[in-house]
Amino acid sequence: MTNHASWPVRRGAASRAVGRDRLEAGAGSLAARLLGLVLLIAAWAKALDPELFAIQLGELAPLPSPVAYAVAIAAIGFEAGLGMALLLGWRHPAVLLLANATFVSFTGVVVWHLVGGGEPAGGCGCFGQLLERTPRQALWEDLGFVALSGLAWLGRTPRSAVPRWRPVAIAAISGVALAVCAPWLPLDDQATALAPGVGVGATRLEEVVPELRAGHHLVVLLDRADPASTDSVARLNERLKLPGGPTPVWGVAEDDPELAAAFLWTAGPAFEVRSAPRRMLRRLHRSLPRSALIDGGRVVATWTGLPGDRDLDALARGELP
Amino acid sequence: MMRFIMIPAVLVAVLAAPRHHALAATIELAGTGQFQVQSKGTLEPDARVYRSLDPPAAFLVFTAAFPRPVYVTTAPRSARLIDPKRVSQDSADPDLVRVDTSGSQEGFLSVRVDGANLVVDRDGITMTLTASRPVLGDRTLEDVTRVLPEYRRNATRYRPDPRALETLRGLQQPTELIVFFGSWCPHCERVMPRLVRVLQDVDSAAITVTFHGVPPGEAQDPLADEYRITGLPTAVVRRGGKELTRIVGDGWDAPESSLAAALAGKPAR
Repeated sequence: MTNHASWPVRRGAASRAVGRDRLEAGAGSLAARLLGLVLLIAAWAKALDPELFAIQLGELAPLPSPVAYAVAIAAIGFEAGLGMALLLGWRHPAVLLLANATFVSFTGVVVWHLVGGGEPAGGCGCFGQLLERTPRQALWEDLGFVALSGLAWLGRTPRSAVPRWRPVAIAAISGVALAVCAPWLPLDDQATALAPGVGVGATRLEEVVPELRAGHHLVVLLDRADPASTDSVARLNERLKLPGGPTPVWGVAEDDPELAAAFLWTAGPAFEVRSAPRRMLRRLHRSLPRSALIDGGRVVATWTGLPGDRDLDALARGELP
Repeated sequence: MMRFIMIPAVLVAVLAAPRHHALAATIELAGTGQFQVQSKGTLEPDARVYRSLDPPAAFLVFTAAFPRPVYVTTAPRSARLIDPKRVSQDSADPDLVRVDTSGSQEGFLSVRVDGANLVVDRDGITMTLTASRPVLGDRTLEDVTRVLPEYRRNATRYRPDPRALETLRGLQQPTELIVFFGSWCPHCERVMPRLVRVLQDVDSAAITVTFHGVPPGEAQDPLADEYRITGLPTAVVRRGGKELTRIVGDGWDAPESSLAAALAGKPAR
């Protein structure tokens, strides 16, 4: 009788315990999968422009450029592999420890930026140029990821430790392959903040050329030290009948007064070349020169290098290509 | 009959024919502090350099190296001595000159590029036009407007909010401004003259200002690091040795309003 009397109570407790286990397992699994997705997107964002990631690594540690580039490629592969492991729910303690360490290190980098008085705004955090955030915003975001990586330990079962080596290896190799090939792939619009449809405010170009807010303009990002940029000036002067053509042209280049003077003497641009901070400019290109057509304050077309002859001829007539 | 048709037709054709840009142009140039002149190998501090307001870049240089002003074009690259009678100063704007480049083109000088230098030469007499060294360290308002004509000229064209100016003129408590800027920074050139104009108009003994020039690129500046300056220009406003506020970003749209709003009713701590 006593047993029977107490049975319903025991059944309720067991049911609550099972429910709690399921809730924990579900929360842990969801956290791991979310983090997996975050890492895969972050790996994709970095793989589109591994050189930029290498530059960022070089700012954190005094690495020679080739070493920073190799570390960047390896880090992208690691991130893609770890992301796939978590996305598939592989919650082996080693995988989770790696995830914890990764997100804690991301947070550490952002804290370092904050303490060191880094950029007030820019591609902070793990999404590179895909998201524009201040270090403070990135810190909150990364703290959230650290919390999620802690949650991912909840409710692990023997099933969650089943290895998923094959998809993880495929993801890691794909990440490395994309990063290695990306410079030769036409991914400038995906990899940079200068893409069709983007407002000039988001590109921060309007800080340098406020005239871009109205009318149509051709903006050419230049490297004043590169002969390719010098040659492109002669082509622009000639094809667009500068000065005085119907399409205003603006060059934008890194703010180095000596290079600016040398470029003025040697290239002889018949259009204005304005200077911009290197960090701001680097968000807008993977290689130079790069061009963009702006109409009514929005980017309507971009070109790696200069627009083709037909497009330049259309611009010379005051038409949008 | 044919003559009656041909003569007017030829006259119309001659009058309507496009003329060379350089042969019939008056070029407007404004004083610049971004370029400096060296003659006989030494810096010429009294040389005056004017830069064209519109591209392509052209320069008018008054230098001791040559008896007449030198007119330099960059596209195409050329330099020639110009008759001073062809140069006229704007009656309202002392930093603006006009050069009449029409008529015969003579007095050409040889030109060559040596890195960042444009070397102009005639009979062994040389003048070098090159990028100015950045203005670094602490400067007064007078220093800034003297060495950077762009600031002086843009300041005269800014119209501050009179109510904000009144507020600032009424300040009694000593207030210190440290303005971090880059003489090489185009954004500073656009917005800093607004503060210059405000300070000139307010002319208050209660406000002391130090302009601090920061080097370009990745070069370090101890004071900018100490104040954790992350963008230029930044004006740090202090009272009683403590920082009250900063003018950054959109605050430069109307610095007098930003300053008046921040200072009104704030006691020294």
